[in-house]
Amino acid sequence: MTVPRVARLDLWRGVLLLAFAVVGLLLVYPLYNIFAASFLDNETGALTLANYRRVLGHPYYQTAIVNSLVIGLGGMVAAVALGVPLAYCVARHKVRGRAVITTLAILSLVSPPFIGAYAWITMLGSNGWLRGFLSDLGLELPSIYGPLGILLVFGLKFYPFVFLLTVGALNLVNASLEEAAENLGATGWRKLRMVTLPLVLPAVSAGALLAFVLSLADFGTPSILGRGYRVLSTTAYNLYTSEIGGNPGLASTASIVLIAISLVAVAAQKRLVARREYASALTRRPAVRSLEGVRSWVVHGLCYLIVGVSSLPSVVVVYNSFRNTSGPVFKPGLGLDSYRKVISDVPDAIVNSFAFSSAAVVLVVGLGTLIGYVLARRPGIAAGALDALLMIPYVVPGVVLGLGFVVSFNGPPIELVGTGAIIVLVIFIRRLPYSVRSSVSILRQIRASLEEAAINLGASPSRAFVKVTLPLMLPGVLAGAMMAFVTAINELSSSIILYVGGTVTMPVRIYLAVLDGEFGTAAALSTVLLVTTGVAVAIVLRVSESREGSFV
Amino acid sequence: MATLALRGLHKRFTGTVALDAIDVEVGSGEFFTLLGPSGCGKTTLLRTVAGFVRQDAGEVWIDGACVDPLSPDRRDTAMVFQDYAIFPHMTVGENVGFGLRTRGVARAEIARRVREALATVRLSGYESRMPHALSGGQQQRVGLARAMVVRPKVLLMDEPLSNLDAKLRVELREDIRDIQRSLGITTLYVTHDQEEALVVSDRICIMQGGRIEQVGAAWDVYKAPATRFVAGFVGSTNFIEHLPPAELETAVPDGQPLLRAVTAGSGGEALVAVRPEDVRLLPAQARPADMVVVRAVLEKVTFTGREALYLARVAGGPTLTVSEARPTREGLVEVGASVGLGLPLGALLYFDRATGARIGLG
Repeated sequence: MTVPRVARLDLWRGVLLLAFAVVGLLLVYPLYNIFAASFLDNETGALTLANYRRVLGHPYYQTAIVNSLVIGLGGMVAAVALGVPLAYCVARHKVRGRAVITTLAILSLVSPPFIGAYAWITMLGSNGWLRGFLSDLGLELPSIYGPLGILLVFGLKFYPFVFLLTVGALNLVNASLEEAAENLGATGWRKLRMVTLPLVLPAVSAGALLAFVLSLADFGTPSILGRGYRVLSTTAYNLYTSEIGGNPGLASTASIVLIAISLVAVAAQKRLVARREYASALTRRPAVRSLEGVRSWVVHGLCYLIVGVSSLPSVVVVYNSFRNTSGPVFKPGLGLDSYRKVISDVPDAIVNSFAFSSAAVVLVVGLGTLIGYVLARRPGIAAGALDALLMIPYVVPGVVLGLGFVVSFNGPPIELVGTGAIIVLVIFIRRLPYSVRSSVSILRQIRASLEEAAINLGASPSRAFVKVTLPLMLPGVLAGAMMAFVTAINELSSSIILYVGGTVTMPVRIYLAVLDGEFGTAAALSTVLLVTTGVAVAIVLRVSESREGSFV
Repeated sequence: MATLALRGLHKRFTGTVALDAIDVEVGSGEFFTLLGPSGCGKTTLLRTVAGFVRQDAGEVWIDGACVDPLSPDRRDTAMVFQDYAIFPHMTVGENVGFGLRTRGVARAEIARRVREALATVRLSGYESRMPHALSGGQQQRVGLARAMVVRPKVLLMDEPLSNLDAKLRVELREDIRDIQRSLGITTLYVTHDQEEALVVSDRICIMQGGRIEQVGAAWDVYKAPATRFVAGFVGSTNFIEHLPPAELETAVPDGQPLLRAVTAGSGGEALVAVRPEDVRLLPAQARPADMVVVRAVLEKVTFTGREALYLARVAGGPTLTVSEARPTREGLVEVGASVGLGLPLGALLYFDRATGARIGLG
């Protein structure tokens, strides 16, 4: 005879349904609208390939595509060139102040993305103090505006991804492997090239992929530093918001091309690491060399130069926020003028930022934890499909999702454009996959037998979850919440499209201030963001066991 | 105290049959062990009783009532896990008291029973310690206390000792046996360690490929294995496919079943088996009347301390293992020596070549 399933209200099936509804409404539907719009004629609404012919065939857009690839690949190369040597120095040598180096790298990773662009303008712009200083020494630098400046900012911004992932991988290479290489005659550079680097290739390429996708998607930096150097993200934005007749069809097509490039990159990285994921038995920790003499100077110099230069923008921003200004010009003397101005002129931005981010984090962590639980503990076809859908936000730039939201929620049945809710929701859906993934990895470290033991002793499944699994998840969830908060409060690329006067946020206000040359306001607001970010990171470092793991 | 009955249980996981027509009756207070190699279905069976695995067909009865409609938290079984599953965020006392709290027992009563349970597993005074400060053996004692303190109808143990080192394993299995007997809790115990099963159990159920091979007391499964698999899995056994007639040197009359069986080779109906400790190492000329004697050459001698193990090769036939208890230095036979192997007629087992079932030959 067949035994009927125990009938019981299943919380987890409800979570799955809710998750599909949310992902369908906030992710699939907006992206579908973008996708559909790219095939429609703006005037007639007829099905057409004209938009694609235009974007792929017209020199104006071809330039944007090429430029996007240049800054994407260039940002990636710069990040790898900084991140891998730094990782090798830190993981294989007795470097003094290792915690300081790691913390500084983490801080430059999580600091607001466009702060770099802004700070480098005040340092290396036409009136920048660093440019003047170097010019006095007889060193004339090329302009900060254009691709070189963008790559400088991207390299210094995204190298921590490569660094953190590579350090983690290097620490997991069994010492015997490197000793075997030496024993067989491969030392120094040969050992590195033949054994060590191939072993950490999956981690390096994962970091490189992140740097590529984020460079490609970034809106603030090329927008501030581009000065005529058009890339796809800024082009899509301009096409949509242009005052003389926006062109949603072309904006959508540019967006789809952007997503397609990201997808190709993801596939290429997958292909590269296929058959190269090595299960490692870490029976012996890798050797860490002591440093002496010249070698010590070189290694320490390199490490501190990289993290020092990448932290420079934050220092500059904080310093600038205390300088006296008159309009766009910094004047001698220090004071709190900029802060007074911020508080009297744009208190909304600060309040909005904290309110929107907090709301988004509550949603992200709440649903992310529950979905993570379902994926980790109740695998199945539906859970697998949800997992796949949740990969989408990784390759969809904020500008594109912002456009999708405008197109989808600007009238009945759902009218959200102009509200704070739409900004909260776009941040929520962009950050949800990260929260889900971190919940899954937290749960992997909590044995399922613990919950079974609780149920076996008479606790109902929901009570077992609340009494046993949830308390064990809390530190990880809190760390995840703080990271979600950091990305939420620093979000620019989607909110720049969705904000209206009343829902302006700090990043948007900073962006506008930089464009208008209000450097004092920008610096003061950026400092508020930096301090907030720093506090959140400090909490993460306190509660999480793996320092680096929480950030990538 | 309660009985446990499993009736016609079937369970398929994609592609494999985990449980196939399982029928078992466990008596009240009995220590019943499921023994088998990994993948034989023993853990699936245990988890079916707990309710974590839902059978495709069949019924689970506890204390005279079918528990299939009950979810795992309402079955009143208590489980001891292979990986201990001690809640790392609770003290030892809170861990042991967990099942009592879910049952709504009063606080004072909980404190008293936790204290008693910890005393039983020799962890008195450990109430406020955190689990990570305990050794593996101590953690599993906590697991045992946590399970038995709720006085479950059935105590379930899923390879509770397999993560512990050898010495601790022996010590703790004695404790488990003593505690189970003094409390009289009906116990279903899973292990792949045959010695452990023989030592602790009232009855042993040997499983393979989702099926029950034999249920019986330790003595029965060892001395009278029901199938060829049981004979090979519990203890070690020499299986004799074929003995060349030329090497037989025997006073046993022709027509004796062993001779028929072994000289017929794979064409015969029966496979012969004999335990290493039943084979006798004989001087070359000896011809005891109650044995078949085979000529062999010693290939290897291993001294384990408690016994001597000989590997003896029959020319053109099998290599047999012979164990000699309490060997003496003078009595050890040298490698290369020609010996007679005595196979006592009373100790021989016969199995059907096709079905593996034990048969009598007459």
